[in-house]
Amino acid sequence: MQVKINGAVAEIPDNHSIDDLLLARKLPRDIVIIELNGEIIKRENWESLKLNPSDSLEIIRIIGGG
Amino acid sequence: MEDKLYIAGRQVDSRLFIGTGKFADYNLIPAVIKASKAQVVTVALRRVDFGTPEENMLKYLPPDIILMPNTSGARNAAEAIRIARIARETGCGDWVKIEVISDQKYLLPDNFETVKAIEVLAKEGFVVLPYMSPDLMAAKRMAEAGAAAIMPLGSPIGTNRGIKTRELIQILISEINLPIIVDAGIGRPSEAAEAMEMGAAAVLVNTAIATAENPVLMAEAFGQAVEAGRKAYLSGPGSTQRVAEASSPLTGFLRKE
Repeated sequence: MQVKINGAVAEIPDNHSIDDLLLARKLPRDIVIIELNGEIIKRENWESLKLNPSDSLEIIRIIGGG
Repeated sequence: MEDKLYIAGRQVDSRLFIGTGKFADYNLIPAVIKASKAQVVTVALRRVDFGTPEENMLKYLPPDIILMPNTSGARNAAEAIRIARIARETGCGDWVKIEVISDQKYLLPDNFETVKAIEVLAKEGFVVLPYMSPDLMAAKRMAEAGAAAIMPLGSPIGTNRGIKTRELIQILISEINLPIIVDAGIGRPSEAAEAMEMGAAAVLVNTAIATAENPVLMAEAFGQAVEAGRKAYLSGPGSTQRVAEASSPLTGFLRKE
C-alpha cells in the first residue's frame, strides 16, 4: 500500500506498524518522533498502531541547531 | 556575591547559552559545552533524512544541561506551535525557543506571529523563550503572552557582526521585567562582554563558536567574556569624560620647577 513518509510517497507492506516501518528503515526508535496525519503518536502505541493506505507520516529527529 | 539567573523559577548557572548548529563534527560538542560552562543548549528538529545514517545527537549532550529545542523552519505561529509540541515529545523538557521566520534573506523573526505562538504554548506549560526583533511594544506583548525571557537579535543570524541593535536592546533591558538574552549576531567574545555590560541577563552564541578554527578554545573565551561582562555590569562602571583626568596625583612631581 502507499503512504506518504516525510512528504514523499512510499510503498510499504499492508498491516505495517510504526515499529515495523522503523525497523525496515533501520531507524532506532529512541531517536525519532512520529507524527501521523498531523497528530503526535506516543511511543507506547508504535507497536500496535497499524498504518493505513494514504496515511501521512512524519518521522522527525533532533539535530544540531541554534 | 550572590548573582543567579532564574528563568521560569529555575536557576541557570551560566549566562552563556550555546547553539549546536554548524559544528563540523558532533564530537566537538561535549568539549565545547565543557569549555564554555554553558548549561542551556539549543537544538533543532528536522525530518529524518533517509539518505544518510542517523545519529543520536542527544548522546553528545551531558545529562545535566537544559535542552532548548528551537522552532526553526516555522514560518508562522501554527508551525511553531506544532514544532514545539513535537519537541516536547522527545522527553527533553518544556523549554522552547520560538523562532518564526519567513524572511529568507535576513532571517529576521516575525514578532507578530511569535506573540501568537507564545500565547498558546505558555498556556500549555512550555517555558517559552522567543527570538525577536528588538522592539519595546513587541517585547511587552510577548511578556503579557507568557514569555519566560526575551531574546532580541544583535544582528542577523550567523553574521558575526555584533550588537547593531544596541540602543533598542538597551531599552528592553531597562523596560522589560524579564531576562533579556541577546541572541544572534554576536561574533566575538568582546561583543558578548558588551551585551553583559549593558545589563543583558545572558547571551546565546552559536555560529561564532561553531565556525571558529578552534571551537573549544573559542567556547572557553566566550565563557570568560560573559563572566567578565557580567562582573563589570555588577561593579558599576565609572563615568566617561571628554578630557583627560589624571590617574596619578598631579602634585609632588620629581622636577626642578
